[in-house]
Amino acid sequence: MRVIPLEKVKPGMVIERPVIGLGGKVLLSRGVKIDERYIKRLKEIGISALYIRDDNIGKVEYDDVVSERTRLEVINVTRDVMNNIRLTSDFDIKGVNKAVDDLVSELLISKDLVVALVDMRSANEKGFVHAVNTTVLSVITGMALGYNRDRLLQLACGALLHDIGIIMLPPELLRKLSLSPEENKQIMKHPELGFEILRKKEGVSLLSAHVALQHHEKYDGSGYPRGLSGKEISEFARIVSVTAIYDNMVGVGIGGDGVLPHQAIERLTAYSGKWFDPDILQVFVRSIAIFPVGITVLLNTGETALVTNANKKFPSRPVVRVFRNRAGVNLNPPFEIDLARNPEYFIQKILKDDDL
Amino acid sequence: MVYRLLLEDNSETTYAVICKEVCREFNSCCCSIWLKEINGQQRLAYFEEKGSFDDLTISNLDFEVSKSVMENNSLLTVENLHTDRRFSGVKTPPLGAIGVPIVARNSVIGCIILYHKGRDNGVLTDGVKRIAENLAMGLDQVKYNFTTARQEKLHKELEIARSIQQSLLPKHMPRVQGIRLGARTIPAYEIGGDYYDLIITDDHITGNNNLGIAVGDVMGKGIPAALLMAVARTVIRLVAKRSLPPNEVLSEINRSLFPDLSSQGMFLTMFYALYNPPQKALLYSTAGHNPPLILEGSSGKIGLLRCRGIFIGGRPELSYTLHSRKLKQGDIVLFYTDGLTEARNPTGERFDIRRVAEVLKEYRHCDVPALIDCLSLRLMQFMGETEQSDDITFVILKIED
Repeated sequence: MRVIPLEKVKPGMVIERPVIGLGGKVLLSRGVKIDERYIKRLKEIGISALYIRDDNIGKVEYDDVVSERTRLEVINVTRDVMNNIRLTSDFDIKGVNKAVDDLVSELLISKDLVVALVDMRSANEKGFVHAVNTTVLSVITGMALGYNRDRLLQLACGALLHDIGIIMLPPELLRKLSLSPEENKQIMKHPELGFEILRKKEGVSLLSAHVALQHHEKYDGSGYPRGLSGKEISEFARIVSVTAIYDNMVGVGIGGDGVLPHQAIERLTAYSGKWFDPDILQVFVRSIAIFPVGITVLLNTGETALVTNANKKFPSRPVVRVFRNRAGVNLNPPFEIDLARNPEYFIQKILKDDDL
Repeated sequence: MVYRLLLEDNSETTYAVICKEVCREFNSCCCSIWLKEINGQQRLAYFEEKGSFDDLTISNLDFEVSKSVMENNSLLTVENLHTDRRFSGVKTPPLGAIGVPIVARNSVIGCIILYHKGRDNGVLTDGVKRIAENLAMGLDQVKYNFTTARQEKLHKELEIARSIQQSLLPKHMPRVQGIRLGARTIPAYEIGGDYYDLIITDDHITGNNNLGIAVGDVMGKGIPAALLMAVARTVIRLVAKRSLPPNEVLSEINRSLFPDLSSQGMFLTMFYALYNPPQKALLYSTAGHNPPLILEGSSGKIGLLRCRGIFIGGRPELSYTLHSRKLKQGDIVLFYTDGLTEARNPTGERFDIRRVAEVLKEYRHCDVPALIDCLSLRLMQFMGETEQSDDITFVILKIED
């Protein structure tokens, strides 16, 4: 299973991880052989990379923190909420609570797992997928902070709906590439718009609603709408302000503009204490895999390997599958090295597809 | 049979054939041959009956088994891997294993591993041992043909010296209350004189154990530098154990080493620090060594532990200035040798202390192991294809939250 940018994907390659398409439906399931038609379709909906099976490496079984089924369920619920709000300014809270409950339950069970898959979203699904990813990352951070189940549920609900106010803005505004100061002001209204919807909604805790209101506040007081600083900002909102930006950075959107986790960490840390609460940032940074599953790396011993599993305790020490020796010869079969057990090995370079 | 095959064609293909033949002759299911290298090991040949890419259980386990055989330099016989404690934590099949180190000129150069289904009444073990002996000569040759031309150039003795030198570095990080420690050495192709040590000192006055951190660099390269490093290590350990203040430690080391150093016209730079856990205090002195970087966890500010002192071997009697610094939660101290800052990229630019500081700052929220891996990654990506001309060593101390 390797991450291959769409422009390098060739007919005949086999999908290793399902592609979620329009409306949260599985577009291509695992094991499907790609043909020209699929490639064209994927380009149209803005998918930029795929997890592809590689016969020189063998199959990679990786347990994601959340099952595909639950992920889809939450994506669907989020889409329904957004559609309903657009039409009726109201939504079904029962569906949200059930989805959030399922998500948190699964995350609590898989607490030894770590988020280690590169997310390949289609441009059309960006909003929903982003909401779900932000929620997963936020709950994981909450778990690391020692939250109990009830708090995790409130946090998850707030994270999932944090951008709900966006729906209330004129759609043409969101499609614009450059905004006038006036339009910008309008966009900056979305936290308050979202808060107004959630505040009035029975069954949504005020703590969750505050995430929508405060997720653009910054730790040093330079954010909006109220310019709150430090602990004036709710802890939930301080978490979501980190996880939402992180997900936007690593998500591979149009043009494959995503960065790798270690690069995202660099960028986030540059704003530690400015935009972000340093303590929360620290907890978050330690809960994510630095080398995601599916990327190809060069080891200090000169061997080429694929990252096949992540290690929660040591985020920079994954299991790697050595498939090419130092002399450039493919190994048949490959073998794995658990870097957590073998400290003398380390990753010296992340290889791009062109290097292979 | 093995001998004849190797005489005809000493190549990887032949070793693959040997693995297969060994399996057939001993009615076993898997066989592998490994080469030991300065850093790590390389699989030379592998054969697994009914092996497939869909089940890498034996292939994965084989790495751990061969590593343990070469590290311990002793025969390994396991009746059933599945129930053997040594390999708990790795997925194991219910097979027996025999691992024999391959030795040439008194050092381990590789190993052969055989996996079998039945019980061994000694016949298998004897058979594998015999093959290991026959493989020795051929493998010794392969080791120097196997990879790059650069390695062919390396003298065999130099490589032995290198492995002894690596074995002198701490194998485990000592556990010290309230801090996390980590270190990495990235050896250059040519043997150098980098050195670091972490020493738990006996403090009889307070009854506390302090941590001594020594980072040094013998000026010069090759065997003389490596030998001197080995001598210095012993002296430093003896002196440091006594929990003296760092300035006295350096004076004492200079006094002990000066005669040997001056007669050879050599010298060594060294930074020595003593960390006191209850006080979270760092006492330190330098003998002409690069000043460590310090990052304040609270503010993210970066500075140097500036101090001055003459390198060891400069004069028979030297005194050093003692400095101290209180550390706070989240503070990170990076000790290093100049290999880190002098590393160059293909256009000749140095990695430089400023880049090191930048990386340290960007990863300050990570745990120490991740910080070390990220610094290594950034450094190696910066260097690209440039050949590393000097050893690179760094030690990181972080005050826990």
